[in-house]
Amino acid sequence: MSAIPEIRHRLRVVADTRKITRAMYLISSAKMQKALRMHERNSLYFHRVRSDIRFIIDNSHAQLGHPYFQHRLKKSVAFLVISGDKGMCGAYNEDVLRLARRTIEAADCEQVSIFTIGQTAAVYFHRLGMQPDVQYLHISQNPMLASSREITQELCDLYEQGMVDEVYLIYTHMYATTDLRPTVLRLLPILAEDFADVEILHRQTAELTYHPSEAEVLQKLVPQYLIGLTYTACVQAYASEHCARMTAMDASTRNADDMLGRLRLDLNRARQGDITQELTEIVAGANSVSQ
Amino acid sequence: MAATFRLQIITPERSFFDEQVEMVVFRAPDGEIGVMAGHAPMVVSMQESAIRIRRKGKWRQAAASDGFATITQDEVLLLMQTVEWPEEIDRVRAERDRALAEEKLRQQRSMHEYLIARSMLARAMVRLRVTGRNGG
Repeated sequence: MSAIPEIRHRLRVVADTRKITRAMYLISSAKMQKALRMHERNSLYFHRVRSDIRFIIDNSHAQLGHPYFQHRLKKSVAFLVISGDKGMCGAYNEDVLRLARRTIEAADCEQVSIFTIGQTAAVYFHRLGMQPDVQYLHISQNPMLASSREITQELCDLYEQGMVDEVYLIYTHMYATTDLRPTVLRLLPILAEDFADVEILHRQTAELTYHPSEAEVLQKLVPQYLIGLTYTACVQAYASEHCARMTAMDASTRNADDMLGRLRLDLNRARQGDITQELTEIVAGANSVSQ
Repeated sequence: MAATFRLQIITPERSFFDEQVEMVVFRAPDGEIGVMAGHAPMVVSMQESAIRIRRKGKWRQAAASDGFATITQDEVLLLMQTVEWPEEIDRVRAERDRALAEEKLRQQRSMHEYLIARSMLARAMVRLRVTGRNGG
């Protein structure tokens, strides 16, 4: 029967694919351990720095004069979209990119610029005909403080020159390993309303003193805060990607196992069918000879 | 026993220090600032410097990048980009960074690059100083 070689071939193919998905699962789980450690260390900074900024905003009774705190009329908006470099991670890329597209299309402004981190984001916007203005590659594979500093510096420069009036980050936030949520976060300007959900760690005190001066402190503090935020987003995205990939690859390995079981059953059935047929033929032949 | 306060030093990559201390000294743009328990609430911008921490009567040093300090009634929070104990610093790498930064300063392409190179040089110098003083 011709079915047997065919089934054998399929068996081999599925077994090979299973090897790949299994390896990817193992790699992702190792990377995820690393990402989780980074995530844990970083989330402390993230919470502290946010509560600190809130503390400063709450305690500065005078208007904060720094341009980073001023809400200009939004004419030009920049979006920094963070996604993975490759697929094979379930709906991870798809989810964050769809949110990005919806947000960008809903943005009511004259000019939109798109910054992408990750190959899939660049390709996605390219295909939609919204050419990304700046593409950062290699960062999503290995989030580092130095690269976030570079990106933030660039965005801050654009903001200070008045080329963009608002900057948003779009990335996947990992609340738990099973709870990945694509998120939009405003990077600039820094507005009090964004900090409404931040818990206050310090008691309200008398007016803060700035040393040497308010302008100089904010000049240092704000970029630090922004760099930290960008880095956090990169780390979150990295952890989410590996989390998603691990789940996806685990599921495909299990599917491959199911498939292999079914194919083996088919193979045995076909072989037995062959043998039965041959026996029947031999018996029939012998009968006809003896008659 | 002197009065203590909680000192936290946090960078984006790790939580560096979180303990009760008696005093901490760091550098503001116009000179060094020492903070002891009961300091008035203040936000200070910090420069690249060797921060000194006194805990249980003993001083320790750490090489810090630029950042800022939030001083509240009962705690001090230092947020910065990088900070290292002397034993964590790679002297060879710090030396190389210093040479690189000096070279970049010499070429001095734009104001922006000048600022970056200057801060890189300052960080490298602090690292070298901290390791040097501790039996380097």
